[in-house]
Amino acid sequence: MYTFAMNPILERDILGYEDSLLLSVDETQRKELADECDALAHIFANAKGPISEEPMFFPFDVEQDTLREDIAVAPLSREEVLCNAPKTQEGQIKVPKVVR
Amino acid sequence: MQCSEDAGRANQGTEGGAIMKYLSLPLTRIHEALVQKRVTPLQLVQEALCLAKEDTCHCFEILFEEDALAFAASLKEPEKENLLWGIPYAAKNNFAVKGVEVNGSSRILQGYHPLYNATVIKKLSASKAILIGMTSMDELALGGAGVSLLSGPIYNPYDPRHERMIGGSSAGSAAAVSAGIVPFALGSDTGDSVRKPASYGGVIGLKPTWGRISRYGLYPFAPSMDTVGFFARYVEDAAIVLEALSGRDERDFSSSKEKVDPYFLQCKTPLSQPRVLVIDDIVNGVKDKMVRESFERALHQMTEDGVEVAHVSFSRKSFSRDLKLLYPIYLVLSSAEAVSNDACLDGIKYGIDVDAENYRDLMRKARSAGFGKEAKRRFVLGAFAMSKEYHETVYMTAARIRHRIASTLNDLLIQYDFIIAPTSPSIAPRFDYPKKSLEENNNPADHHLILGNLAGLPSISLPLGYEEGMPFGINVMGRAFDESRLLSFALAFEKRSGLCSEYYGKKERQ
Repeated sequence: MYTFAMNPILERDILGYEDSLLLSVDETQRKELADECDALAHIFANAKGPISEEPMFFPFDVEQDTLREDIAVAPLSREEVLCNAPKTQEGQIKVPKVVR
Repeated sequence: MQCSEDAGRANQGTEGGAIMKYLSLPLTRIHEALVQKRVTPLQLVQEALCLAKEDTCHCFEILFEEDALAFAASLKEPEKENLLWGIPYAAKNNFAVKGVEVNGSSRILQGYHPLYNATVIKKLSASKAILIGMTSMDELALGGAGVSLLSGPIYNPYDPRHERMIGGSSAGSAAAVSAGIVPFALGSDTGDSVRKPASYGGVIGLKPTWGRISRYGLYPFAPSMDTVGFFARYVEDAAIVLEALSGRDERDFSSSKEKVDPYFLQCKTPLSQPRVLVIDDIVNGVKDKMVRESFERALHQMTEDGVEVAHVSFSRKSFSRDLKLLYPIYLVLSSAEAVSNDACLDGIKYGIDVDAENYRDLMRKARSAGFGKEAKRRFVLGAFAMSKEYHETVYMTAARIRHRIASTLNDLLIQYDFIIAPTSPSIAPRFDYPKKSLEENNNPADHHLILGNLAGLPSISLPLGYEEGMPFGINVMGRAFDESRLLSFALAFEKRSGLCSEYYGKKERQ
């Protein structure tokens, strides 16, 4: 059984997750999420009984053929690559500056 | 209905002078009519498009009228051995279809046109089935209420007052089949997103074994649980579609190399004394009297038909506690996977167009404006579960319990062929039903469908009965890659219950 001293999840913790996710929620949802994360922390902390199993990440083993032979195919055309970009300039996807 | 009368007039004289609604028939009968040229693919597509345009349940986000009609018109000589030839179908709005907008019902992907076709779309196209449109869904499959961020709620075709949901996230596909617009429609199932809407919509919903069908081109949500599934009105139709879609795909390493059985042929082979298990910890959570009585009646009929029905109760054992944790386990694991799978949606390469001074601000603006409330909720919960402070105690604990659950299920399925339960403890809720808190959301009857996703097992929901004119279903879960026996059991149940043909009688009377 896992036991540890739990601090409540606060709204500032949710702000931290928003920063890492690069998105913002409104104040009402931030409060709801703090409560929900807190509830999850308690639920799993109180999951009774020893858990001897290893974590399961996939239901079955996945065979990966990463060393397959190269197959030559036609690449995407420039028009295809650019067709979904919100902003383009001179045949390239336009992005904001990384370095000021 | 004007649409059907017009279509019927086009087909008049083809079945003893009666106006036929071909799209309501089993695939084998539609195919027979096509082969005998009593109807053409063009007429079927015209009928489907007409019904889709008249639909008031918001089944479709987009219709491919021109392309569908052109493809249908090009199909001249029926392929006698190809049961999907000329059949219209719909796909959930999260399957890549080259050259058309497929936005996952999310603002962040508005305007996005995939540059390739999903494998399942390619396979159905090769079978000459005709895609008529993309169906509405919960944003990026992150939800179960059947409410599209772009087009609003998807209504249950059985409720003319439009107060009840059909559930999600594959809401539009479920509704399109339930409303008789298409004979089958593609969906995806990560927690219950095909089977629950199937129950609420009175149709069949099949979630095959994880890896049975290629997920190449399916917008990912939680890849360890995502499964391509679909809706149909007849078990044989489900077998036909499963056979067409199954198989190893080198573009999806998680797709299985297990051989594809001839499901359509094998589902007609009766099982000899199948053994089914009822987990009382699940069924005891069903409080609705009609659902409970219908389920008990079904068990009684099974016993009369030679099925061995056994009950088990886990009482104070760990599995009983695990069943109460199904929803938090699913929420933690799926949200953690969703965070990384949707990290590429940043407003730079495709999708929503916003302005900002630097790339971080641009991405934050795009993601804040582009995602809806439920998607943001899942991402934040996923970030919490994967955070340094809680990764071990929350995420890894959930993953360990998942392993324990899967082991228990697989052990049970050594001795029993199937595990059955009512798909949902009630008929479709109203949209304004009171939401439960996480702590209250521990009824196994509400969440047992997640078992199939956690363990990767095949699972099918079948119509079971009606209450207040609204349908509800029964769910059957089998062993991994044992879809032949699952469908065989389902076919026997369908014949015994008579509900599929009864549904069509009921809809005709409405």
